[in-house]
Amino acid sequence: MDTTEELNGTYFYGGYSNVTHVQLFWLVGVQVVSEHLGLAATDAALVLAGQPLIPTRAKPGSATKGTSVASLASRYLLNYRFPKGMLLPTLNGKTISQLHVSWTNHLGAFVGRNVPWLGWIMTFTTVYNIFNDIRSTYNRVARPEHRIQWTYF
Amino acid sequence: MDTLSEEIIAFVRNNYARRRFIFWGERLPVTAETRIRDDLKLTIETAEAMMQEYFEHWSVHSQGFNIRNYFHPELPGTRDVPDPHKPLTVSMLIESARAGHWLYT
Repeated sequence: MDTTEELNGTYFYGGYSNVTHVQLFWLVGVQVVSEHLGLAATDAALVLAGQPLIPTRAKPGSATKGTSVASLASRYLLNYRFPKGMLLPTLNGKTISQLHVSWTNHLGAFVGRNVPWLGWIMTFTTVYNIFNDIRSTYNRVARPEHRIQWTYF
Repeated sequence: MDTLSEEIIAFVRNNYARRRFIFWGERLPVTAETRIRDDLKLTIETAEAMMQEYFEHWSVHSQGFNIRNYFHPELPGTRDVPDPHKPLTVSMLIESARAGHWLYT
């Protein structure tokens, strides 16, 4: 560990000296989170792309939001219908309790409706990876008596 | 059961009834009573494309037809978008094809 020295029971980490083990944990945390931020931004973009913020064509005066960036973009860019009679599943629902699978024969709709869910999965994976990374980095640096023995992550 | 209703049922079944295991397996059964939204579970885009195809193929006037009466985008967070959820059955397609224009509001 070239970045770590032990002085009078404290640590040296990333340019900071005289760091207690709790402070060391937060320093590792900040560093690891900033390393993962690019990936987290990707996840957030996928989730946000699926938010139904864009007004749809409606009768005059009653503009209703009802479609999302992901839907519009993918339907425009991937405007392709599957061969006759082929339907693929998409995960839909106005609320979480009304989640259900609906079927589409349009590639753009298939991608647009499933991308936000991919974003959610990747968000949770990223959060898990961040905590895992913090713990293992911290445990590599800390002395045995300060190591985290058991966690949820 | 006449030719017209058989044709329309076959059109819906061959194009818009999903297979049991996506790529193979039996298609969902389609009868005149089949509801497009609740039984076939199509998304709004797919149902719109189906109706477009139907209006063109059987030269039905689509005046008065609004997909939003029957379908909803169903994206997460669209709870406040009105959803009349009127039933859209295959028999409505058959009757309207007979009349030559969309019969329902």
